[in-house]
Formats: sequence, structure tokens, C-alpha cells
Amino acid sequence: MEMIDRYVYAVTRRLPESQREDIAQELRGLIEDMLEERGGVTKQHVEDVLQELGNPADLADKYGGTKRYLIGPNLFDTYMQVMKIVLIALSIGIGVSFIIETIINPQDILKHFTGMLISLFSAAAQGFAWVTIGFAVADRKGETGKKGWKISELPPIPDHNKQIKRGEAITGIVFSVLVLVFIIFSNHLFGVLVFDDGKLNKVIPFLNIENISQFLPYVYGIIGLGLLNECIKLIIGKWTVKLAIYNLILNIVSLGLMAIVILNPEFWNPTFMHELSQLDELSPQSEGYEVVNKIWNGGRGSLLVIIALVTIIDTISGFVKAYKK
Amino acid sequence: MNDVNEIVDKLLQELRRGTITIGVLSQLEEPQYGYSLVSLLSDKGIQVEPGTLYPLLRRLEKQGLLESKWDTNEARPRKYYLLSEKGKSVYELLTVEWKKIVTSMDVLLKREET
Repeated sequence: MEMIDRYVYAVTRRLPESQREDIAQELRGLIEDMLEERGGVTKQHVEDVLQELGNPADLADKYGGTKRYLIGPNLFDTYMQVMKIVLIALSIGIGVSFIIETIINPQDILKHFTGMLISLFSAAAQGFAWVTIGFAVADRKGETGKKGWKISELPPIPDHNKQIKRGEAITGIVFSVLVLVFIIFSNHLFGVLVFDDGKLNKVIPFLNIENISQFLPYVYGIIGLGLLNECIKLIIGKWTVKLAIYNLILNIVSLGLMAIVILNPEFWNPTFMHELSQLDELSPQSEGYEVVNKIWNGGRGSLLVIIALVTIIDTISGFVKAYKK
Repeated sequence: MNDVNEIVDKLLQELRRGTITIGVLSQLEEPQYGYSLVSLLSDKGIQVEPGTLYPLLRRLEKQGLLESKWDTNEARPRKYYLLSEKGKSVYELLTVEWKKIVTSMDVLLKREET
């Protein structure tokens, strides 16, 4: 009877593929036995029997069907927290770039506004997706080997030196997201702001806007690693040797990616010095021009050295905090 | 009074849930299929809904306490379950523990009565 098939299907579709057929056959047998006991297959009997077996979803649950959630209760609080921070940071970044654009070009405010809405929408969708994917993976990964517990695994009462301040991790997340927004959505505003009569006139970008798209995978990678790092810190909550090792690995990878991007001349605005020299204050003959030119040309190496130093300090301090008694 | 009944119902449900496993194991020295087990248990005063029993049988099989075999000779194919060696030892140990619980509970309840 069709109703029986539909019932069996409603149960088994919620079960892992490998068990479906077997359970379906057994269920069918059960339903036939129950019908027989009631005196044969009639519409009324079928309805009674299925009613007695109850809601197919509940029955599937009892069979231990697949997980019906993406992010479990263990991680949900952190998930919501990170999601809020990321979305707020995205909005702030895009809002700021809208304000700057409007100051530069007030007559185009409507265009900037629609641009902002579009950026906001696509950035929010991306942020939402990545945070969710990250936590869904963490939820599935974290499940394995979680049996029992040891007294030694009880989290110690937070030690002020080892505890990771929420604010720190949150600042890290906000900073990462802001960098992302500026590089991806507002790269034309990321540069030297040129004021004319006290009014913002134009921006000489640091980055090579035409070529930026070829670097986007790296930028996403770096920011993604940064976010992952901060989220792990938020979840673990205190410095442990394991966390310090994660931190080391993530820092090395992201430093490598940054080196690739920063040392590539294509990443930077090739006409930066030329555009600067158009300004009255920095004509090619002036002393200031020479200084800026030196900084601009030698700056990439130094920038990388500075970032490397900060990264090394961050990595070492992680280990120091982890081993501190 | 309704409230009291409701609470009692819930507690009874919890109580039964724990005992069903032992009850099922106790009846599986001979192979049984799901529905024959339902009638067998109900004849002896233990009511189990098929919707609870069938998934339970499968779980016990997964834990290695039961073995199963499809019998396709009859009019309709049925899956028969039988205690495995592991299931037998588990059942024996559970029986010992169960008797201890019954004894202790008897003591507790008698003291309450007097």
C-alpha cells in the first residue's frame, strides 16, 4: 500500500545510506505483522498501525539517524559571538569606506550608497558562510576521541597570566576583518590621502588596483588563517602548549603567504611615486621626494621584517605563557 | 491529581527504559524476530512499543551483543536476532547486578513502609 511505502521512506531517508535498505525491509515486515494481528490490510488498519509507530522523524531518531544540526551546543555560543564580531567589523569597515568616498566625492553619494549596500550584502554573505563553515568543520573534527574525562583535564581556574583575554582575540578578529574589507572592497581608498584646502581631494593608493584580483586568494588565505587562529584562542581560552604550537604553525604559514604578496612588485601601485610627484609639496627635485622614494622602494623588505618580528614575538610569547607556572 | 499522574508516567517511562534492555536480552537465547519478541514480552507483562524495540535491537547488534540473520524461507522475510557470546556474558553480569538492585530496593522500600 502506498501509505506504507511513504512511511518507510519518511523514516529511512533520515538514516545513513548504508542502513537504509535493511531497516526498510525490517520495518515493512513489522508493519505487515502488525496488520496481520489486526486482521488484514484495510485502510483503517494501516492508518492505525502507522499512527502507533508514531512520527517518522522520532522513529528515525531512535535508530540513531545522522546528526541533524550543523553546529552543536558546545560551540554554538562561541559561534554566535564570532559571527557577531565578524559582521559588525565588516559593517564598520564598509561604512568607513563609504564615508571616505562620500567626503571625496559628495556629489556621487547615491552611487556610493548603492555601492555600500552591495558590498555590505556580499561581504555579510561571505562572512556568514565562512564563519559557519569553519565552525561546522570544527564541530565535526572536535567530536572524535571525546570519551570520558580525566581529572587532569579539568580546566584550571583561570590564571591571569595564561588566560587569553577575550578582548584581545576580539580585537584580532576585528582587525583581520577590517584589513580584508580595505584590501578587497576599498583598495582604492587605502593610500595617501591628499587634502586640498583642507578638503579631502583624492587618494593615491598603495596597492596596484588593476592587479589586486590575482592576490586575492593569498589575502583570503592570510585573513582566514588569522581568523582561525583567533577563534581557536577564543575556544581554548587559555595558553596551553598545544595552542602555542597551533599558533606557531598558523603564524609560519601566514608569514609565508604575506612574504609572497609583499615581495611581489605587482602587488604595489607601480605609479605611486609618479602620482606623488604630481603634488606641489613633493616635486621630483625636492628633498622630501628623495626620502619618500627611498622608503617606498626599500619599504617592502622592511615591512616584511617588521611583520616577521611581530610574528616571532607573538609566537614566542605564546610558548612562554604556556610554560609559565 | 492530573499533575501527579503525569509525573508518575514520566518517571515510569524512565524506569522502563532501563529495564527493557535486560528484558530483551533475557528472551534471546532462542532466535526471535522483532514482532515475535514484542508479543513474547507483552505475554509476560512487559509492554514495549515496536518503535522502541526495533531500534534497540539494532543498537544491541551494533554493540555486538546480538547476532542477526535474515530468514527468507517464510512468506515474508524476517530478521531474527540471537544472543552472541558477548551478549550472553553481558546478560549474565547484568542479571547479577539486577538482583542486587532488587534486593537493595526491597530493603529501602520496606524500611519506608514500617
